[in-house]
Amino acid sequence: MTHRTVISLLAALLLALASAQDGGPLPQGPGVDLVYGKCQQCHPINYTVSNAGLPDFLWADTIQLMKQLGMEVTEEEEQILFDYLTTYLGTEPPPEPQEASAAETSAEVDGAQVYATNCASCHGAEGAGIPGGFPPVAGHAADLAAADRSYPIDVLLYGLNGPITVDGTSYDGVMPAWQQLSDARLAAVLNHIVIAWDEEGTLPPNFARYAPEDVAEARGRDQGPRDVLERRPSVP
Amino acid sequence: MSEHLSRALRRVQESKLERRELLRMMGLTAAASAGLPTVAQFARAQELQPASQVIAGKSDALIVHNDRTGVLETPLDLLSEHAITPKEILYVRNNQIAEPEGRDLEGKPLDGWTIELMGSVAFPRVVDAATLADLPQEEVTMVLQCSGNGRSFFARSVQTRGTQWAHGGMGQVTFRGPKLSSLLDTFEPALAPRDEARFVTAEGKDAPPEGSSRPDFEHSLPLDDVMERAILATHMNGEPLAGAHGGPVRLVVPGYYGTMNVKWLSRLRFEAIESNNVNQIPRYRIPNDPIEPGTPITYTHENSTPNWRQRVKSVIFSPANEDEVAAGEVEVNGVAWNDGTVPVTAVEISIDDGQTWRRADLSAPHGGYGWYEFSTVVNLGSGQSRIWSRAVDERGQVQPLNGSIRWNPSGYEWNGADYVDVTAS
Repeated sequence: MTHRTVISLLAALLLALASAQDGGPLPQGPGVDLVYGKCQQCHPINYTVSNAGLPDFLWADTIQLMKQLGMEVTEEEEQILFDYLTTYLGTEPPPEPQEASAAETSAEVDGAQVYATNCASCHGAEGAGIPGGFPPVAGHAADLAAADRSYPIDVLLYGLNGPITVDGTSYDGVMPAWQQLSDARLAAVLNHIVIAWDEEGTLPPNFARYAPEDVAEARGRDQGPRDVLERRPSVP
Repeated sequence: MSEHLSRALRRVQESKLERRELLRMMGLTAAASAGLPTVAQFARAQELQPASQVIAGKSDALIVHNDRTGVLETPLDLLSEHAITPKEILYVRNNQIAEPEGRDLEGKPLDGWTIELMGSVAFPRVVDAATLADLPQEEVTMVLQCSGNGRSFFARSVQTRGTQWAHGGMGQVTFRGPKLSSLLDTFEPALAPRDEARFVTAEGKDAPPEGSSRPDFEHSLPLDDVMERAILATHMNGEPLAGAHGGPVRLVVPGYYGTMNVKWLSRLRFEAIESNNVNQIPRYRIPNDPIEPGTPITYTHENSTPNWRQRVKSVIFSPANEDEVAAGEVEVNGVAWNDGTVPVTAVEISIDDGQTWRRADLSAPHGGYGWYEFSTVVNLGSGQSRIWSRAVDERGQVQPLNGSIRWNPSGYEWNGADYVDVTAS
């Protein structure tokens, strides 16, 4: 067996393990959701991960630089980012990443909380979006789900990239993929943005709540954010 | 084998990652063995969009660092196949991107593209880029290199911040266009910068993402070099300049690091002082005096220098790192260059960690700003060997054996002597 084949097999094994554990590239730990939320607004998360090993002062400096480059954080959030980055991506990371709580059920997850941590920084606390920057989700998510129930799942799992129009306003940005969130969390946030925010009653009365199983079933497809754009339903 | 596993294996086999990069991600090298999240990191690395989806026409063999603005690296084996780097494989590093110009490799119309000339001049002007075609044309073959190229090697001492480039943030291309000075001379009277002007600050039509408070990208360059040799490039490699590389018009200052060659040029400001834009300070600078790796520095205009003139450097193309070779005579080749203001005088090769050096043969470069090709033959015994290369120029500048003596927090301007590890049998 050649060196290259051994590497390939090892890599495949690791890849399979990584997919199976339903985690993203960042080690689990307090503040990990905020790191995903803030970093991915401007760059893919691989940038954060590939900088692992920076000394503490340089992570502090990097947070300041990112603020100069447009990252908006409260003092409290800044501290959470610093603690996470220096603990898990610093010079002496813990040898064993902490496991995510294994048997999380959708009932234990507050979709509003998942939204506030991961989504609100772009789409606004009430889901109204930022005109010209980030599209609204309140009401709009229900429109999309009414046209194609599985579409919002794909947006969360695979992201969305390219020009769209919502309520007559054009957007051309990048929504990152959120595969690192568990099935239960993604189902909970879907129920929050699609069902709880369907104030105009767009959804049919028999529209079923999203279950973690719905999300699990949609994982693992070979598609990206531009593929998701192509299957976007036509809605107002 | 489960379907999942076989699919994963196929993706790995199809992946264009360099083996070295793959090993690094998997944590199998010493530098990355400290409990980093390598498993998941590798899985995620596969999820970035392929290069052709980021910029239409780019080869999917490129390594994708950022699939939004476009940060694409050329694998070294691909780079070494061409004397002039084709646009399909040329690296890209965008802080922000001009939409839609930056998204493909097509030439862009000059007609209607305007460039403002303003600041410390008697009369500000607005030029339609169509007029550039009527001016005398300059052609220059030069090394275009990201100032972060090689950043990942600083991690041999202390990890630095930013895109973890290996050697592929560079290429050799031929730009064509009129000199900026020719354009200034066409006005009546000629548009001369005022005496107090010391810098030219260049802006492009790229913009930060909508809704972001990020400052717009710009760079200041020394007036003297700009007046002497800057061209307003409208062509690259004999074709209209690709939008992804700054077309229709890019400011090109031969010998300068890539970042200073501002794409989608929209404005030149003649100024007495350097810009205070975040991309001029603290970004894109290195300390004037060496600092201990892993220590902070607060940059001022006085204690640091922007990423202007390229440092003398050589890169080994062959053998590749971690190659297995037959013991005996082994050809070593690669390229070397500097800021182009004086010749590269030698590339030296060592197989005993720098105790003794031999001179490689050097080709003539494509003009002063291009790279020299070097080659020599070394005699390797069985087992592990480390082959070093270092370039020296006429000014006496030489690549340091320990590149980390120029360590800086953002890992700019790596020019440590290059080496590859090979196994002979």
